[in-house]
Amino acid sequence: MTAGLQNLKHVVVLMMENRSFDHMLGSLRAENPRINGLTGKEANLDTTNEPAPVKPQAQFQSQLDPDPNHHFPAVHQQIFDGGSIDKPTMGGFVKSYYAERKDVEHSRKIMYYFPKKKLPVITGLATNFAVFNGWFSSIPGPTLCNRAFAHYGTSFGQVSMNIFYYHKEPLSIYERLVNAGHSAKLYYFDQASSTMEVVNLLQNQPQLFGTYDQFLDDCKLGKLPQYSFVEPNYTDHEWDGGARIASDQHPDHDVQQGEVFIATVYNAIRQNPDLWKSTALLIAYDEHGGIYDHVPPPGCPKDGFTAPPDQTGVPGLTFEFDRLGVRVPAVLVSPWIPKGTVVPGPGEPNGRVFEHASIPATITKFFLGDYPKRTPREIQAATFLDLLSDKMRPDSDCPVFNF
Amino acid sequence: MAKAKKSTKAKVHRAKPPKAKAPKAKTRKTKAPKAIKVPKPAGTAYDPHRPLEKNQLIHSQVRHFQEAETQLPEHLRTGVNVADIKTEGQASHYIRKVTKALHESGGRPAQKVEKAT
Repeated sequence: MTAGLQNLKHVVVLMMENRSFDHMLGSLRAENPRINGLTGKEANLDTTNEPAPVKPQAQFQSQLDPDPNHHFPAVHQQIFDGGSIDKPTMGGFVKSYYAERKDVEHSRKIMYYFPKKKLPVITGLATNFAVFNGWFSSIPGPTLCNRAFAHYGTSFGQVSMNIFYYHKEPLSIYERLVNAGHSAKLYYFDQASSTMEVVNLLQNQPQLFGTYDQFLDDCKLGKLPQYSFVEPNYTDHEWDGGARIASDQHPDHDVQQGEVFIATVYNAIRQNPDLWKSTALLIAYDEHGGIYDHVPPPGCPKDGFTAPPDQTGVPGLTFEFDRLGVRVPAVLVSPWIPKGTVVPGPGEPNGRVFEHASIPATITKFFLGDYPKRTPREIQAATFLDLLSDKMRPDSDCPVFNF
Repeated sequence: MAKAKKSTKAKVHRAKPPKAKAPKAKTRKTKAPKAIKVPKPAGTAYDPHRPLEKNQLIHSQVRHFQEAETQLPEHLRTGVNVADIKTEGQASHYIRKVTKALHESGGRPAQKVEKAT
């Protein structure tokens, strides 16, 4: 066991919304070719058969309006472009987005990505700590079934937004920990934003939840549970007479406010020296939100469920949960991680594949050890705490964020 | 106008007291960590009047809160007709009420865990 793991007492996961790896981090390839981002030559054909290339012209807001479709049939088109499911081409993103507004010029914007300088927080963390070349959403589908994998290691056969499964095995990672005498909490932003785990955990076990203000206090006072899951603000709303801007980065919410939010989570941990040296922070996105990524999703172990054609929405297609969704940004932060770590992905030497089932798999392995009541998918999922090394970086070597 | 009298007084050069030499630091100078500036979003970013149908996620959230509300005791229900919710701000107002009520309800007692099928 490394010194980093021996010192580890807390794991914090922050899950953002609906942005692909290439959209947020694709620009980093220019400065570090080990990061599997964009070369600038990637393109899709639009509906007039003209190439629509990637361009560093992504905007913080008002560009991806309407919200790009990211339900199962649309993602199927984005990945396979009408071809065989044996050959993911990643060639159908522009055509899929065209269906939203029937505007060829607008549909090409789904290929746009952010230049590094526009996203100093997520690119700063990715280049200062560990970035994953191969972290994929768990399902080629929308938010809730993907977030379910982060909580339960499965979506219980769902590929949509209809998730009702409380009191079924496997238990959520929070229940597993609490039942074994450990501590765990989901922190939602505030009650007006609340959680995506409404009809399951919030409805049945509200005591598992706290607010973001409590998270900040818990960081300050050294009261953070062993495992924390942080949710951003999902809505623009008033709170005590003031305006609270959504920070989830879901289109068409402002990406810069999400940057501010990520920075505050990082700073809260960073500013408590005891917490900083004993905490690993994972920042991941739930799914790609219909936005272009160039890496074909790989296969994965089945999790024991199937979704028939009436649930996938693709005629004749039964989904066996045997392949992953589109790649998303994921960054692991800890002073025990060497600066500039790039975790290779599929197709690279020593490549590893991660997905959201890797979250409960990692937490279970670290805090509970052997725990059999899980899906085969979670049991076989890659875990990520081996990235913590023996050497803790000095304070001066780890950035801070200023506002 | 009378000329100002020239001072005959010689300039006095006072020896400056020797600068106190800082003792040689036994500890290394701590280098400040690199600070990364985080820009704030534009003032136009905030729009609670954004139509709900523009965000499928919040739209489905409202449906889920509606479902959760049906499980609450009568006195904790909001009485809100979700069909009247048209904007993100209105949705968050409703979500806040139901979240508060779910906390007040204290949750449901643990049931027997079933094997998922």
